[in-house]
Amino acid sequence: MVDETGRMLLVDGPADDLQGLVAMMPDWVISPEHTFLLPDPRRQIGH
Amino acid sequence: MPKQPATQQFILLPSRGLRASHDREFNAESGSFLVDLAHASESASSTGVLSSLPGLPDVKARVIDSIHEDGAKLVEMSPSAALALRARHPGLRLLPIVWYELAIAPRASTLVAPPVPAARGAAMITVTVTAADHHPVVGAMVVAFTDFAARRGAQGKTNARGQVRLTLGGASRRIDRLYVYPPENGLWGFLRRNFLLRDGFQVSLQGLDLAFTDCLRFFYGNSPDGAGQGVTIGVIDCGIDTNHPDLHVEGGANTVPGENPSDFGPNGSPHGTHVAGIIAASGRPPAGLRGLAPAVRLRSYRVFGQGQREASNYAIIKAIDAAVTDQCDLINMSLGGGAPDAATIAAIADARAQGSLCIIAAGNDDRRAVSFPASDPLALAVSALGRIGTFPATSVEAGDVEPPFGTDRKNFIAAFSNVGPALDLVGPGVGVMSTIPGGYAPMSGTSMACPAVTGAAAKLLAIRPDLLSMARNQVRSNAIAGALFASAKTLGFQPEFEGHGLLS
Repeated sequence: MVDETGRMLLVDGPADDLQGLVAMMPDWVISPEHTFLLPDPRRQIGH
Repeated sequence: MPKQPATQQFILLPSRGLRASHDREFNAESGSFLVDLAHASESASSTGVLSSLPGLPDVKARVIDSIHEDGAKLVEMSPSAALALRARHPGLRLLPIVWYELAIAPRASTLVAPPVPAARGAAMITVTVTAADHHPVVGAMVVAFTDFAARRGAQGKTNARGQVRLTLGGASRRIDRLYVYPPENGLWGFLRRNFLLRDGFQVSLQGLDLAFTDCLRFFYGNSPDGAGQGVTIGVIDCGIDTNHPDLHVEGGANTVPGENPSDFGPNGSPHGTHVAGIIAASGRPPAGLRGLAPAVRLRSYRVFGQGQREASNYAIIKAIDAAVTDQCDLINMSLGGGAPDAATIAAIADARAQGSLCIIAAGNDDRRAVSFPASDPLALAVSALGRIGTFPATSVEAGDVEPPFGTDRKNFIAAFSNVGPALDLVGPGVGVMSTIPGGYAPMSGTSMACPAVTGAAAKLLAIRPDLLSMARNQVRSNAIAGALFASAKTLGFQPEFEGHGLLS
């Protein structure tokens, strides 16, 4: 477990094991960690 | 005779789950509406003829299908009718239908020819950038497009002498567009189009005048001291400068795992401080700048790690959760662009269920569809608007002017702004002057339009104690959303560009 709040956990582990665990807890939602970019409207080459 | 707008298909859903009866806090009127629609679907014409929806004589639609009597409906209507339906039933979700394609790998093809590598000793063009006082501008990004549409050309940053050398295949070259973006230090950028760029070209950047009427001040003026009083706003961003003389940050949190939870100051980027200033700066021009709601309680939730340009969905949902716990009425999120994920969707729904509204930038992908999480139906998605004459004619903002234009032909939807039926509101976002760590700068983006909407919404909420005093639940957030939609005025764009319009 990497981090936690009152209602959320950030966990690191095999995806299949975690999906199996959450399948036994129907009130929980699981989502892979991913990132959002800071928007940048500047015009650049290749973008 | 005006052209009839094209219809499209939407999925109409309760605010949570697929059936109204599964949501204990769901508005009974909206639940009855779904049941009435189910009956309408049974008698619907198969010929595609639109008819008035129950209780909404002006909203023409066709109910194509229904999942359960009080559950999801597949409806067909125009984007304008969709807006009217959302205004009347803000607790319902209206999602544009999405079609998926088989994931067949595309065949390789060359869209843009690869750049020709610079030969040893190839001629280069030197561009010198100075401020109006002739001092060199260090670290300015100079971008010379030989073909703007293909994003082809050369770019580089100015050195200590304010100079950059560009390899463009000769000592002079016809340039489609030359952009100069200064570092964030109180200068406007520069744009020149369709000219012959010669070696030794000099650019002089115009300094910022804090008394200038930019597009934010054109549409909203300078707010009185008490604007926004009693409203709490959370800014989920790169952190806010707590030492800026124009800003008062009441508190916040850093939700990046592994960083100090109490460090909600800037992560090295000026973005969050700029966003915060648009909402809540309390300075007085020309010595300082003023946001739309200087009396709000401002809270900073930093989700971008130190020096990072990416934020994880985990840090974001943790920040939303913290902002809701801290009783933020409005949550500003000038970020986006990732794939929709269940956790962020759940966090936005959870905020809504506890009386808070997430107001989110639509994204800057040059008129592509509204990005996630702004596209979430329970978020308020904001596009960016500009106005000719509210930025210097030679500034980079001149490149953001593109049709469509509003009823007032000086108003335009920014070329960079994302658009589409998921939009809720539009805000001024081209050449907005605001606070940055240690000073002031102009910036453009839906990132700026979003806090303009948040600030205007705070002003509105401050004079609606009936809404602020409601129990913090879905009924409250629906009522706030409904009040904002009712306050918005169209500027004459289609709903796909401005949603309900500009908050008045």
